[in-house]
Amino acid sequence: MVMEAVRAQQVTVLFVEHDMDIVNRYTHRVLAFYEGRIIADGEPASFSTMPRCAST
Amino acid sequence: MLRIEGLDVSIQSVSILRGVSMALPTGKFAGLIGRNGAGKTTLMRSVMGILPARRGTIRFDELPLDRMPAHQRARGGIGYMPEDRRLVPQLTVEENVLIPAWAAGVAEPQSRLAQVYKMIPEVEAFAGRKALQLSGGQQKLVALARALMCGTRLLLLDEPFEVWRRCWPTGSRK
Repeated sequence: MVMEAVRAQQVTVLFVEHDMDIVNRYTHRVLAFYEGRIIADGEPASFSTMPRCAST
Repeated sequence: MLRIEGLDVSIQSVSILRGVSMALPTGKFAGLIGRNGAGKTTLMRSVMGILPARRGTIRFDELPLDRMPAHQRARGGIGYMPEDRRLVPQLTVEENVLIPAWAAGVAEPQSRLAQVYKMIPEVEAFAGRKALQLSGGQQKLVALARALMCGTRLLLLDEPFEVWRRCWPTGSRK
């Protein structure tokens, strides 16, 4: 309910998450961090082949 | 649009963020992933104004946030939910939720509070209890409500789905 309300209000959201199922379900974009840098930036679907070191 | 360019952030001379750049259009959701210590939380804290940038720029809807204190960012519609909740234990739930509105000088905070309660009715149910009387899951819920108080344009949420895992471990995610 919260996420749907936020989405309806056109709020921009950045959130940290470790569960890729949730990331895939709720995001338009995924930013993968590694040692202080963004090493991958794209749509969730493009992350199926991402380097394992970027995930938790 | 949230636009970050060449952001470097250090904590006690240790470089945490190195040349981070990104742009996120209005109304979009972005998930930050990576190992613990990779810089995800530091980015959120920098956007909120809790950690200063050593180099680089942060703009939200073309407004430069770089040297704006956190309470001014809250006034501009930015809300932050830290992973470790950071509630004031001696204050009631409702007082905790209202803190950013008070700090930012939000007009008619009760009106926004009613909207937040509508989004998270569970929080209204224990609004009069002191934060120290809450479970960890309930505290996360209150921290989310507090972020929503001012986060009408940009929300920075550090592991928000932990709320659902703690409060409704076998239920559906909302």
